[in-house]
Amino acid sequence: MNIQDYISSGIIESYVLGLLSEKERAEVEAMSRKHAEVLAEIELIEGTLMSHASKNPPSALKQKIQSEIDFTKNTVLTLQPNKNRSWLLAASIALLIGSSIYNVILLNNIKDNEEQIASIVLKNEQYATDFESQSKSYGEMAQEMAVLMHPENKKIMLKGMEMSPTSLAALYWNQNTKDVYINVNSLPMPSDDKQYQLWAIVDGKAVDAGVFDMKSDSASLQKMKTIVGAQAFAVTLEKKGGSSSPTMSAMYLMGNV
Amino acid sequence: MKKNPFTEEELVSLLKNKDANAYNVLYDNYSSALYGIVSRIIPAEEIAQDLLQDVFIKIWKNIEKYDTSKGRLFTWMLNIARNSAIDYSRSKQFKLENKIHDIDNSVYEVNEQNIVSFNSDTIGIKEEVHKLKEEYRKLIDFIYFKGFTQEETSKELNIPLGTVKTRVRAAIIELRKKMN
Repeated sequence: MNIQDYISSGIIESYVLGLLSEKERAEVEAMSRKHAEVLAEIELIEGTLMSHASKNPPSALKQKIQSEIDFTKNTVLTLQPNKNRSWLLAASIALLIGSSIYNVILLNNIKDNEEQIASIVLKNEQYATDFESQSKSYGEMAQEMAVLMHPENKKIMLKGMEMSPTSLAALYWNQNTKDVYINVNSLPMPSDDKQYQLWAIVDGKAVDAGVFDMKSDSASLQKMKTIVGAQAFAVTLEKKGGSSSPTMSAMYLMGNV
Repeated sequence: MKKNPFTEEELVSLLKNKDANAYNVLYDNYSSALYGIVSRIIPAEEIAQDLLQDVFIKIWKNIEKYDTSKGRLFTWMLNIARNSAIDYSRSKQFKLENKIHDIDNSVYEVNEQNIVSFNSDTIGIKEEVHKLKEEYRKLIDFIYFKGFTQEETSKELNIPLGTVKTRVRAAIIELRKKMN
């Protein structure tokens, strides 16, 4: 087929009007690259069809449409995913910041809670200690009470002698166990190298019943040595650790059974 | 038609590169033809202008999808323009507006299939078209403006397919003569 026959076959009109299959299109394009006449005919037919349709839009429309066109590179088609991605990125950053802030808040809450727990534990320990000492002192008091209230006790009042006439002490002597307790609250404070010593007078002889200290706690009951068969008790001021025999000139208290 | 400083391949390549100058060349060279095609389907000027804007935005958005294996750039854009206008003519909005226009003695009408038919006396198809033989005019209307295939045109005009093919060429040659 010569070129003129090809041109006049009608295939070029069909090509410009978009009526050909992909295969036929490829054929026309190959011909148009090979033969300048074919390309010229394509352009001629195209120009004719364009002129035939031609109607000028208002000139202002050009500017209006141009303002709607996005001239940034990689626009429109790829813009959508880009936009989406930047939206996602912004959202993720916001989420990350939000969650970080929340984490810090949580962490602070945990810290606060830990501090509160620590202070509660400390308080608990204090209460426990308090309770222990309370229950200990309660125990001591109960014990003292038990001693004082024991039905087999003999209570002996030791009265102040010339050295200290206003002094007074109570002595409890269990007739069964022979235990001796003394409750002293009004003897003068001795110097550091001296201690008061309790004596039991048994058949006219002074028997050592132990030394005791003056305690600040006036209610304190102190246990002394067990004594058998005493007719009287006396308190003297002796050297620290006690003496083997009482210093009669330093007798502070005495009471008969 | 304004002077196009680029070959078609150069223009397409520049358009794909989002070149603003290439866009101007594209608009200057093709806007009248595309506007004419849209106007023949939707004669209402304001709507046709909106449609032309949509057409150029579509072209711009989809230029990356275009390559020469799809045919001429004009052919590709012609399809976009024609489809946009035909889609609009089938839309509810158009039908509603068309009803209103009917009441106002509209210059155009829609047939039973809602396909626009043209009233060449009132929508300004160029003078030379009037002088075309009636069969050529119909052929160009069906294939070029309505986007009918040759088979559809053959059925619609009740002429053999082979005759359609030869008459298209004859009609375009006739058009060319009238223009010169």
